[in-house]
Amino acid sequence: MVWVNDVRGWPPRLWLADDFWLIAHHDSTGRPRLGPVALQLGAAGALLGELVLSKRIVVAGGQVRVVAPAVPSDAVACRIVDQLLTEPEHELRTWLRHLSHDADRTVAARLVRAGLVVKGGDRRLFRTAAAYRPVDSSYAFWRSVRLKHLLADGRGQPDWSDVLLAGLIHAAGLFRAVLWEDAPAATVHLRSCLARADPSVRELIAQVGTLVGDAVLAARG
Amino acid sequence: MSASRSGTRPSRVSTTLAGDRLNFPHVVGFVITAAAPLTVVAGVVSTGWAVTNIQGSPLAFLIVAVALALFCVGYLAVARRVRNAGAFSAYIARGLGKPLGVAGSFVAVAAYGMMQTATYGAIGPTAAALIHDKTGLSLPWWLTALAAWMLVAVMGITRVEVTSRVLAVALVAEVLLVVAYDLVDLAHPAQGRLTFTTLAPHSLTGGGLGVALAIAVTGFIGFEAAAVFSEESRNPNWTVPVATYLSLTMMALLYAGSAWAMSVTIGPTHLHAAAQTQGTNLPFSIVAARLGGTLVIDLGQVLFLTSLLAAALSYHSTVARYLFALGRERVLPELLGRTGVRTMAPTYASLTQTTVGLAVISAYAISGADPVVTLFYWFGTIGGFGVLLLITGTSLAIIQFLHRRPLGETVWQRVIAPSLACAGLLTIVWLISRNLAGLLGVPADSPLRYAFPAGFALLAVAGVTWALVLRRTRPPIYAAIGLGTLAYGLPTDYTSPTLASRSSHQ
Repeated sequence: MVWVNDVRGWPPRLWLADDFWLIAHHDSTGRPRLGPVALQLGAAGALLGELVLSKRIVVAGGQVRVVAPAVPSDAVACRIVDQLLTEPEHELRTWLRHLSHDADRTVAARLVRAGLVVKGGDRRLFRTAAAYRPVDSSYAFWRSVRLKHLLADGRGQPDWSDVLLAGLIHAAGLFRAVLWEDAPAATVHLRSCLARADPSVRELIAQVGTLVGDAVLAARG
Repeated sequence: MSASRSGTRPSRVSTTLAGDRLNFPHVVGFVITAAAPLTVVAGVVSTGWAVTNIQGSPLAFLIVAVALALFCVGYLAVARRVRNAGAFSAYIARGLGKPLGVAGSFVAVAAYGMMQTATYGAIGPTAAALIHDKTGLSLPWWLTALAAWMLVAVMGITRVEVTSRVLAVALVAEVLLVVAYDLVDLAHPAQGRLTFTTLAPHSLTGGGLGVALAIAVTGFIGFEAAAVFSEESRNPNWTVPVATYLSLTMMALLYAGSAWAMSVTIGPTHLHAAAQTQGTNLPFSIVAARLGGTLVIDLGQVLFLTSLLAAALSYHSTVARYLFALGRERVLPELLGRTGVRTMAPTYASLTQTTVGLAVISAYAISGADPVVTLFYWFGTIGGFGVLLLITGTSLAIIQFLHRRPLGETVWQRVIAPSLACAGLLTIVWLISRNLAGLLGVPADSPLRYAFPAGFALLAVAGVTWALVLRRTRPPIYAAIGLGTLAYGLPTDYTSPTLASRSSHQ
């Protein structure tokens, strides 16, 4: 096991879903900080969000449209684009529910390949779940702190990836757990950023939030 | 639909989604646990006989069941097409307009909230009596009620998945017990012969009709629950209707059958007197008198308690969900739309109802009013009346919705059944509201007979007014009402493209 506490050794930029994963899991144990439904939907939203950010898909009117079928460099993104092209008849809502089936594991596997996360048995009473855990907890923790700084402290200008990430964190219900006392001010900031954002970004976030809320109403989660 | 492009290969998306769909037992289990047989049979029916002098409650259960079954024809046809299908107010918003939808949610919160707090009025005295019998310890009713309140409060903000199995087991035990009691009752008819008086139409003549109907309506609340799964059950065209009609039939047979069996063994003319002396113990004590021993009483009381607790939890989560939906649409403060990060429970909505429960228990404890009659029975039946108003409004909305946006429904589904249901429900509402004094057991000129319906009317007016205020001041929020989407207070196009497209092909 390698312990690297110097964050300068780690990539300053991550895929959107990787960032979501690191924030949505406990930095040292790797246990989810969210309920399973919200976690999976958030990760699914982030995977589609990567394609929105790279301008490969457009989300409008509840539908997903592939606009640039050029093969993405990432294997996960590549597979999703392939699925989107194969079955274009489904709505955004359906795609999110479909991807949410194993989005969390998909992202974790990609993080393992990037060497940021390791697979480790997370034993709990009466069951042993195969869980992933960040290689370096301070790096994982730093991803949350970075987002907090960007939105609350005004120490940097959030780019669209950060805005989408924050929106998905909000939609999944983790915003206050990340932003703490800055949550009200950061929400205002986030709203003003989203007002200027690509409509695809807004619609993706809204749809994830809607599905998470539906799960609460159906008493699942 | 999906094999069209890929030849014979099945759609991967449809396959994965089919995997997490709910199967029939799950849906039925969810609906059935909303029913609480002993709460109705021991609680509502007995107290109804004690407070009023109505014999015909068995027949009333059957009448209400027919009206609700007719209502379900249109209700289930629309359920497949409305998001947030478990909430009546979503139908009203879609069928009769957003202002009335908000009015509907306000009435719903109050009505289900009354039914929820009502359960404490029976839990407290029953548990206190049970403890007194077994240990000799005299506890005030409000102390045991507070224990139940605490339990509901904790379960409201944690996940109740584990407990739903426990509730299901308790429910099966309840049903078996009720059926066994019915058989004992029927084997020991008064004066040695079976009487069908309480099932005959003349048992409901006069002012009694409205009262018996109100009591019956209270028993059926919860039948609507399956519709919430219309999007995610396997084969929803089959699962959800079958689960709904099955639970309606089961409730009708169980409630009407038990009330009739009790009337057979006690004798229709003695019901009032017997219920006044025995209270909610009536079904147990008559069986104990026939068989001897106190075991049947103890068992009955324990299961009556679990039944009441199940009802308390079920109504609690209904109120919490209505409040959560209002919070996430930001019709009410956003706080209500917040969930526990890990639990995904509607934390603040749940705590709101918990606070109200504490306030009501405290008020009754301090004032010293009779918890069984003035809390359990009054709040229960009036809350049930409120839900009936909501159902009636929904039935109007369904007619309107299916008239404007038909989508292959048959004439029976679209026009005939909903119209019959609406006429039937309106008649029931009219009959009940004419006899509210009789229902509550207060003098015919008591102001209370106006107080409760006036309360609902005020809430409805407040809802309409608030919706109109939102339309002027917060158009994005108004636009999202009843559509089950989020409004973060962002520009309208934050949510509207999806909504516009959804409503256009609905």
